[in-house]
Amino acid sequence: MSGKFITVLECVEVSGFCPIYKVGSKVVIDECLVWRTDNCLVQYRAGTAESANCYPFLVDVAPYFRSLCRGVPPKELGIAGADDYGYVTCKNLPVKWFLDHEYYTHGNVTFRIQLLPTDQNYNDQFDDDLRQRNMPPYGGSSRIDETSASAD
Amino acid sequence: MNMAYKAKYKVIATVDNVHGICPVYKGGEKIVMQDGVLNLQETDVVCLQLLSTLIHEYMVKQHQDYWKMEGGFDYSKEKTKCPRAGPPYGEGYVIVSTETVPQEL
Repeated sequence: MSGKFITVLECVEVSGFCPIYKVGSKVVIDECLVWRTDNCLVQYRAGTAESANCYPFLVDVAPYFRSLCRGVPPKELGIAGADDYGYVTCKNLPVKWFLDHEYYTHGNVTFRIQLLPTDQNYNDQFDDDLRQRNMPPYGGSSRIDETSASAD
Repeated sequence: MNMAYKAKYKVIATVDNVHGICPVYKGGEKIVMQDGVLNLQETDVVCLQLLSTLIHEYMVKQHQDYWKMEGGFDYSKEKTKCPRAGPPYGEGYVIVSTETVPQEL
């Protein structure tokens, strides 16, 4: 195991209507970067890139993202389902709460979380640039030791 | 302690419903946010996973007079939930309502 992970969030259910995500939409978190791997349902402006994410949803995922990037299994975080995948949802209520109790909502999305081991995270390609500036590479103090070991 | 000294509202979040299993809340607990901090005397217990949702809820509702004045949607009765998933995916989640109380500056 490399100790490096990419977090993949895949939409498995949309309750009601979500203008951003549909079932199958994927959000990929690679260290500090968040990517969208499919097009938005609603285009922002004609002729512009269509790769927006929902900001409130990203905020809702925020408590987990750093642990997930470091390979902490969703089960340890208390967000795993019976299949051991992690599951998170956005802050809006599922539509049943509107139908049963008239609590306002337009829709809610549920995402499945999967950790993919990788040899290189996105930031790693900048390690040499950082060393040239006499800065430590991404990844913390353990990798500073790696650098000095290789220099010896 | 005046990082939010212009906050005109105290925001009281109440856990309304527990759907499925929540290891922290049973329902009815309060989380009180005031002047940019948690009011620990009036707060029962704070789940840090729920806090991610409550932070932006608080930041906007402490200034709710602005968006109400401008004629936008009235979000004051909107409820929110924690990011945990309910059955059949995850164990459960809580639904939270927020009440704003004007306070003197």
